[in-house]
Amino acid sequence: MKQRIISDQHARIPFSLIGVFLLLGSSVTAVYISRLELEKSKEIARSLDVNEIEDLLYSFEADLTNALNLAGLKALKEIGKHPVIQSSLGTSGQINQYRLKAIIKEELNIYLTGHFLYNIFSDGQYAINILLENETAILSSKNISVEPLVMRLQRYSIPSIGPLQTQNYSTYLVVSIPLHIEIRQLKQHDWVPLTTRTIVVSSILTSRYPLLECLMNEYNTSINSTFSPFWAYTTVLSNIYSLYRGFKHFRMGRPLNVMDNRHLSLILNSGLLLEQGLLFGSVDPLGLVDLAREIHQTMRQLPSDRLTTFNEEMEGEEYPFEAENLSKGSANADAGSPVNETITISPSINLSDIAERILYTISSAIFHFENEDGDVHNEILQFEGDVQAKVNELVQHQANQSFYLTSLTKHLSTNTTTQDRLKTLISDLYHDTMSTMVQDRFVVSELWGDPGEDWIDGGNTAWAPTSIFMISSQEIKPQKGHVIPGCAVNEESYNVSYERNHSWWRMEEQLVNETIMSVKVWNNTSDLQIETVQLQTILDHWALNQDTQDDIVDVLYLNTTLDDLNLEDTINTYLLSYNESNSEKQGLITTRNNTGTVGLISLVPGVSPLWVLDEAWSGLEEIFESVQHITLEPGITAEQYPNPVQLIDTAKNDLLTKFNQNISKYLQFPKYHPGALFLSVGKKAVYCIRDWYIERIQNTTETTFSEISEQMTQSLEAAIPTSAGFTTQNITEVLEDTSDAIKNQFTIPFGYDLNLSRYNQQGVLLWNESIRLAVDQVPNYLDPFQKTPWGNEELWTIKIRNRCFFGPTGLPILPPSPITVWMLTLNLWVIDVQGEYLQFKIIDTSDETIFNPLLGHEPQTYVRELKVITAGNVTLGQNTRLSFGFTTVAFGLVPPWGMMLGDIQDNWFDEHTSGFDEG
Amino acid sequence: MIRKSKIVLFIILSINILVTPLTQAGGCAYGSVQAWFRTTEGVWVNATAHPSLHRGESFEIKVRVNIATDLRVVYLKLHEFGTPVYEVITGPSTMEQFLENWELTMSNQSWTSVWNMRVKANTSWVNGSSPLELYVQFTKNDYDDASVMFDILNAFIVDSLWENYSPKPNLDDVSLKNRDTPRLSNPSFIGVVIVVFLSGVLLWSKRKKEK
Repeated sequence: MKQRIISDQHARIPFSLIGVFLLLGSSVTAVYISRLELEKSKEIARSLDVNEIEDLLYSFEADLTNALNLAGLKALKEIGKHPVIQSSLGTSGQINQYRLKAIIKEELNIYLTGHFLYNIFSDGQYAINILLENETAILSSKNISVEPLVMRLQRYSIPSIGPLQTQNYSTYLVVSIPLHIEIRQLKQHDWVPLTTRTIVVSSILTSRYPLLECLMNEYNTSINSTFSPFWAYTTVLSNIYSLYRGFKHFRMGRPLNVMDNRHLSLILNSGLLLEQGLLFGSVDPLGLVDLAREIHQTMRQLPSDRLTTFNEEMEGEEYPFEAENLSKGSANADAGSPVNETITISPSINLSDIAERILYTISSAIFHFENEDGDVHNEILQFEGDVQAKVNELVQHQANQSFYLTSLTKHLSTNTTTQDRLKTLISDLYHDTMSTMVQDRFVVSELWGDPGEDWIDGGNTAWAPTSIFMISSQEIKPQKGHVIPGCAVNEESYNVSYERNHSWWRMEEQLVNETIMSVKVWNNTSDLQIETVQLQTILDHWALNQDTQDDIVDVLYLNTTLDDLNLEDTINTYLLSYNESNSEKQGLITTRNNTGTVGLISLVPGVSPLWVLDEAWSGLEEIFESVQHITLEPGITAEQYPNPVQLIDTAKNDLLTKFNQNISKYLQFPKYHPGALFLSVGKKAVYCIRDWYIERIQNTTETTFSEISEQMTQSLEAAIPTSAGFTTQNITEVLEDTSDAIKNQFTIPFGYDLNLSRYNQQGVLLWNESIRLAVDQVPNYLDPFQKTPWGNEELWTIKIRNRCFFGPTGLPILPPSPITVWMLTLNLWVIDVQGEYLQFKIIDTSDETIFNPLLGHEPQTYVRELKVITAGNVTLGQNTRLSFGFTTVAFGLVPPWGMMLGDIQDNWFDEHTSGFDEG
Repeated sequence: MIRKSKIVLFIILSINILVTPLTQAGGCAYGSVQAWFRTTEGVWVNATAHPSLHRGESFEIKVRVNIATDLRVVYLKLHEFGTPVYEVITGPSTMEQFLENWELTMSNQSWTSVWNMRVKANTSWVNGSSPLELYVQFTKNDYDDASVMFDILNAFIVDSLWENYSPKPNLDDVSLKNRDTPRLSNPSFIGVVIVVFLSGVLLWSKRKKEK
């Protein structure tokens, strides 16, 4: 079978047929391969077409991006010149963005319809056309989206009075527009549509308008309202200014007007320029020139000096503005002193007045006045009644006659309250405590009454004392050196007679009603008894003062050397006060069985010699003399501690530390207590009085300084208007925090580059760039005394008002009276500032993207001025001027007893800018 | 006849002088503005006036706007900076509110508005001076405008209440309910009367002359 299958030849196929199949198979394969090749070649050709279209699309997008940027730049140029700040149609951001979109839409529509219709945009093979909707490429500006691009700005700044050194700002805008396009294939004079697409064209608008807008808003915030950097600057600088001028006024009587609006306007203009410099990195150069000119004019420099100084100062890249020049220099200039003369602004706080007021009171004072011609006038003022009102009236009256207080002579009288206190202290020391102890008592005789025979004892009453008779009294005080608490100093013996009724009875037969009855009959007799009582006078304690007692050498013994009785007289005084007629003593004597009983405890006064008070007073004067030499550390000045409350606290601590270091010197303990005990009661009294005086100075210092702080705080709170929006704490905090920043000198930069950096979300730096801004402000100098020319007209641009809160005399702290301490004179000025720039413009000078047919390019600007912005027949809103306004407080602090601290002029209560009255 | 014409001319000039006091106008390329001030019993004085006013004291201001070229709109605003001192009792606009004139905007047209104002009775800016500024913007189109601004008065505010003060409502309070920008569409009644009167006088003199 197997063989059959192998050798079976029934299915034999001719070779020719196989050949035909082979030919057909190869032909099919060849066709298939050629088709594949054709398809491949077609595919390659198609990809070449697609690349061409893509390239065309890239060119289209690039062209549109550029056009979009140009349209955006044009829009931002217009918006920057006339931004809408207030609008009834929406927020300023919404309105300005609407304007941006509207201008972009209008500009791009023109560009798109002009360049992307009718196959104009083509490469010969293909064309891209914009698809119109209602004959418009961009139907609505709502289709345009705008996103800010944030960059990090770095700049130089001063803490508290400048902006943040590093801050993120919206710097650029990214605009995106969806567009409908059609791609056509061109065929000689005809074309076929290939496809339609919607592409989104985006572009970064290469104008830094958003940054300018942010910076302008930040500048407005930084100069307006309370707690703004400009407020902090003005507060600190005006306080430094008032301190310097206040001290000059105190020492020299000049300047009469401590807080001068001419100088305030310099402070304000310099502050505005400083804020500009820190925030924009640039200032209006004309503003700087005008400021420099005004400073030198106000400082009363000679024209030649002024020019030299001005030229020197304007060299370099910044203008050095010296706060000291404005404060110290102006004070000297107004006082007629050399401008650079040093002014000590130490409040001269010391303990002298405190120590003096304890010993002496002011009975009267001679006030010395002087006018500009050197004529002297003296007025004596009795310190009675309302002294403060009298002083105010006198100083004001003389000021009206052009006589100003130069010095004062005090007339002192002994403080009687202190004198009385010293006498009480001495008297208290000259006391000891004594008592009486029943040493022994025994009956020496007893005699009963005789009732006769046969009487039975019927009982008796208690013994009743009938008489006391002293039989002896003997001083038994211990010898010198042995007097100790509880020792007996005197012994007395008394005989006491007693009497009692004694009843006797017996039964007797008596006739009663004619009947003999047994009746009990009583018989009374008197018994007599005599008892001897021995008493001892005990010295318990002596010379008590606070926690000390029993510490006198040979107490109860006259110290002839010191002429001090040393309480020796107190034994007799005690015995005299408790003689036998004293009922209390009689009670002690006649009380039976009271041996060992102690009674008649008494504080016994001794006689103090006169020299004790005299020596004590001399000791206090000696201490007072030493205390006067304690001076405040030179570094503790109003300049170093601009917060007045902190200044007072620091001064107190410094003075008390120095005082406490000298307490042993003031007390002179060994002088009165050389060994284990005080030399005498009188010496102890002198020592205790010295101790009392020292303690009194310490306590009075604490109380006085505490009251000063409290009074200053209350005065500040009273001076700050409720509408001001800040508290005393705010003022003191800003003085502490900001003073160092502008204490001596700061510089206003002419202009420097600000660095901008763009980071991605992961914080990786993408690119850096720099920007240099220019500032142009109108007016260049906000002058409160002159109108600002503007076109053909003139306008006022700033109002300054400073009110001297406590008048020409200031507020004495504490109010002077014969017994209170006057440590300082305080005055406060409430300063109101209100102003506006007629025009304020910032210019991005490093921007070269906005085309200008004449200049090639022009910078992006941002302008704030008063203007209404329209769009056709619609009022979009208005641009507004940059304005500012705030209230702050400056204080002056000077030592007492000199020229009072205050503005001596008619309008001290309200010094507004005088230029407003001139018209 | 000539004598009569001279008399008429004299009368017209006199009326002009009485009705329109001489003033130094603020001007720009597109127009000019004149302003006057008077207290309740005073006479019109030119801007800038420098009176002393008490708290609550009333006064009037008058503004005349002259248009030099065809415009789209004229804006007018009474402005002050800092603490509010002035308030409008009656008038076409309140303080800080733009008065819009879209109709009387043709070349050589002019219009006059009067505001009855007073110093705020409770203003805290006292014992000092405070300016009241007038701002007028002549807008030709969205990109072309010119403006005039000057202080109508700069009054020293005396810190005592005016003896004739009565706390009647002011326009600022009333207009809080309706803050739409006011539009000026017609010449003021006084202006109409003056124009009609002067036209009548001129016509009368012309007819007399013809006769």
